[in-house]
Amino acid sequence: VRFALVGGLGYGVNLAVYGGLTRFAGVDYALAATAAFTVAVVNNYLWNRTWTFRVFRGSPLGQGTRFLVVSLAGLAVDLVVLRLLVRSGVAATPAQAVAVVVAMPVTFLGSKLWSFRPEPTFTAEPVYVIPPDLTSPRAVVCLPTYDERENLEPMIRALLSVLGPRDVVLVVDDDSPDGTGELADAIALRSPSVGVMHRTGKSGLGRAYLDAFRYALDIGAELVVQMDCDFSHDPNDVPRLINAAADADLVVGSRYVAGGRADGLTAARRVLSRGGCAYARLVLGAPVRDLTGGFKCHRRASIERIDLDRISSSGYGFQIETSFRELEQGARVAEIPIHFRERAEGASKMTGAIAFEALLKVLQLRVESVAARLARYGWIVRWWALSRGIVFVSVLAVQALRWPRPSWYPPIMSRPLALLGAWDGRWYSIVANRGYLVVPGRQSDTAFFPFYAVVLRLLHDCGLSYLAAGVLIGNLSFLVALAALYELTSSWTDGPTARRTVVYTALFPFGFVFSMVYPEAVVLAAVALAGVFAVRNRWTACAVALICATLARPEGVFFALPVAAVALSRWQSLDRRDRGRALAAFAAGPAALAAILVYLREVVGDPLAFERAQREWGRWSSPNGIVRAVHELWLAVSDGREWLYRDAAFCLIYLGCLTLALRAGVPKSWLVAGALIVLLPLWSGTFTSDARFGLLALPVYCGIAYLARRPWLDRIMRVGSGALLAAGSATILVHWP
Amino acid sequence: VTRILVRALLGTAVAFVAAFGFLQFGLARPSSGDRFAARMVAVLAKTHGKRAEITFGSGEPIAVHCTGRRHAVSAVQTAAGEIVASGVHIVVVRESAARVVEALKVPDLAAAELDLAGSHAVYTRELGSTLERKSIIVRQGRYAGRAAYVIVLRPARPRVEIVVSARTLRPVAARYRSADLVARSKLGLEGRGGC
Repeated sequence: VRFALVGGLGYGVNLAVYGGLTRFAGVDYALAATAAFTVAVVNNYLWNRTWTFRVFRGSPLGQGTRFLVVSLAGLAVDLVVLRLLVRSGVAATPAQAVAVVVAMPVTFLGSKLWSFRPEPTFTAEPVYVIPPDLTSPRAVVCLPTYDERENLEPMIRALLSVLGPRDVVLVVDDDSPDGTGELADAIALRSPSVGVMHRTGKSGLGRAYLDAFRYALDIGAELVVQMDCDFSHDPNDVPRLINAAADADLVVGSRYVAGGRADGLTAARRVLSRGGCAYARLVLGAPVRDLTGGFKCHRRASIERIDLDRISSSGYGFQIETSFRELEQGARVAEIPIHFRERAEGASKMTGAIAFEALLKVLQLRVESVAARLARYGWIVRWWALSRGIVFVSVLAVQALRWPRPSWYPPIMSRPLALLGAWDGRWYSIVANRGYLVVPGRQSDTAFFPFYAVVLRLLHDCGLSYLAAGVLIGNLSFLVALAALYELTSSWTDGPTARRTVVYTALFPFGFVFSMVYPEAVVLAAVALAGVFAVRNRWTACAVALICATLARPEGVFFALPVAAVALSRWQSLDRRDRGRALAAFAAGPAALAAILVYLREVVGDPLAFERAQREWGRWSSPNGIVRAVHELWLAVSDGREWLYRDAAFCLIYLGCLTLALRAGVPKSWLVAGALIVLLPLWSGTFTSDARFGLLALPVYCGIAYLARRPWLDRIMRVGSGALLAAGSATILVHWP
Repeated sequence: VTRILVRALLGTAVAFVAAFGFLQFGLARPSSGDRFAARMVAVLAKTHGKRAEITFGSGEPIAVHCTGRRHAVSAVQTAAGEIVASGVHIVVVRESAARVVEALKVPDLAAAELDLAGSHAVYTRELGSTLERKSIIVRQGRYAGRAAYVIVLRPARPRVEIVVSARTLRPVAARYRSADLVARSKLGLEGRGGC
């Protein structure tokens, strides 16, 4: 089943990449298809390795190549069967369905028995060890060597001159042909602070370090230092690393923080190193600038927290993998500047295969991390599925009953869930299909912000209808939003309240909008992620999330406020780069808004086309807008607009919940943003749709969770909320949300 | 402080460029036909049609005139009767006996008459609704020796096209084609009244 699911995912990835390249980059279709196939194979490989077959050992390069061969063989079987069936008169679509079913066992067996065959378990048994005389040392400095005869003795001498009396040096030699091991033995016999571990042949830097780490833990070391023996790492920096470990679990000697340098690298190596660090940092989201650096000091507890048996990198990917796994386990990290010099003697061990392994390893780590996180979010997925199930069943039921307007509904079998595409969904589809066009005197589509329409268009280009694309985006975004909301509220309040926040967000009576072809779920996810990123000092990601939120709904710009508040509260602890980034994240939302104005100016000739379109939709902002809104509410019954009471009631509920959220511990900046979202639309002279706008006021859900802190009340509220959600979903067509 | 501000400004500029680029490359642009149609809607909203000569097949031209009416998009009066259109509903108000017989033979006669009568309100409605669903097709051509544009109001059958003057953008002719009926009309220009 997992294999089939991964296959389905790969199919989606293939279509997305193909659509993106042909549609947006104008790439030739054959080239796009090749790129799409490659990306899909890499995607499937990573998922199959980490989830389906769970084979963490073995070279990713060899495994990946075998997987590619099996994938190509599967494709060949598929094409042969397809051709035979089509020639014998079977229609193309059912023929492909049969061909996929026939090819799948081939690829499955090939993958299981060959691509991901179990590797012999790596036993870290060195041939023999000459132990240092000291037991329970403070620090063990590990020096992996292979053909380092020229460097070994000067290095050990330099190290011993700077290390303390409770520190030892451990040389880990991979049976160097130049006699490095023998030289190390001779030094160890002379010096009680030097030990030597001899291993059978050259089996990679990572495995050498793993052996050394295990040994260091065995002899009771408090700190484990790793460094190269070729003087690219300055032995004089070791005491600084050790001292910094007083306040950190992992100290990284960094070439890429202020004061750090890397000299002697060729231009190609420099690009590879910088690019590799940026790539790993971006993909893994790790707050370390020099992830590929090999000059590090680990606290014992930090190594013990990670499962050394799970570390599979043998080359330079090892540096990334160990740092990332320690960070995942909550290690406090410190980066101190170092002066890196390319080796003066001997040959570098960096090869193309090692770089490729590191490239794949980063992706694999990210997939593993996401898979592990998904497993942790299982309960969130269940609440999401339950709440969306309520919405879908209600919507399908009224579609089957054709209530309340029988002529509106398409046949349930041809367009199920058509109700979810009603109202604004139609307009977003128009923008996605055609872009902005102002039609004078008519309601225009410039009233709808563009981000959601662009995503709709992208999926539509991959073969989905606008309705299917919208429902897919909305519901998946809502799942992301729930997970992000949990992370964010966990930083505000206690665990049970954070969990209840997620539950009430999922079951919120007006939350059926999150399943419709509306951008609300995307915005909710974007602003919750912006909050999480800000709390985690990931300002670039925060800026991206705020750009997406603002491009999707004007309310997104209000969330610059809480982001600014987070940045200000941490200003003193931020370094110069992060301060600049935090300020840029604060300005990202307004910048995106400015981009929309410039775009509208260019496309429809009016930067304020949004505001003008709002007038055609019956809204215009003015200082007395709130008076007009109340007056409209006053006349609601006589004007036949009783539905305004629904929006007004939700407005009051939102304000009440924001007050409760203050008591739950939600930061004031978030409450101000929430209040702006609820109250500001009233200045456009109407309460219409305020129930929907308020869905984006995140602290509201915290307020509800705080209200439901008594178990009996919690149970009643959950049932009531679920029932109201069903009722709200069923009445979508009665009045627009 | 200067470095921090420079970084922040650069970051903001990158955010602006990224957002603008996203819109520029991500959003579709209306076709030239759509943009032309939007201009047409503006023209149609300010002007009215009043007289028309409708020809069904190779028959004799029939003179009709069109008037605006409260709660109705337009009312078309022919020698044989009167048609009132409101929203998507078309009601034949008065009928002559000959017309009833004709209507039985050609069910979409009333719809054709309405489309050919020159009602700018009807054209606005049809152009607007087509514009919301798909791109408008506009061709360049000539009518009565002058430059003109042909706009496809309804591409599917029954297909309706209007010919507009390239100079004034006002409709000068209309064409109608369904499975049962092929007809055309020549539209008169009127300054006041009409529909």
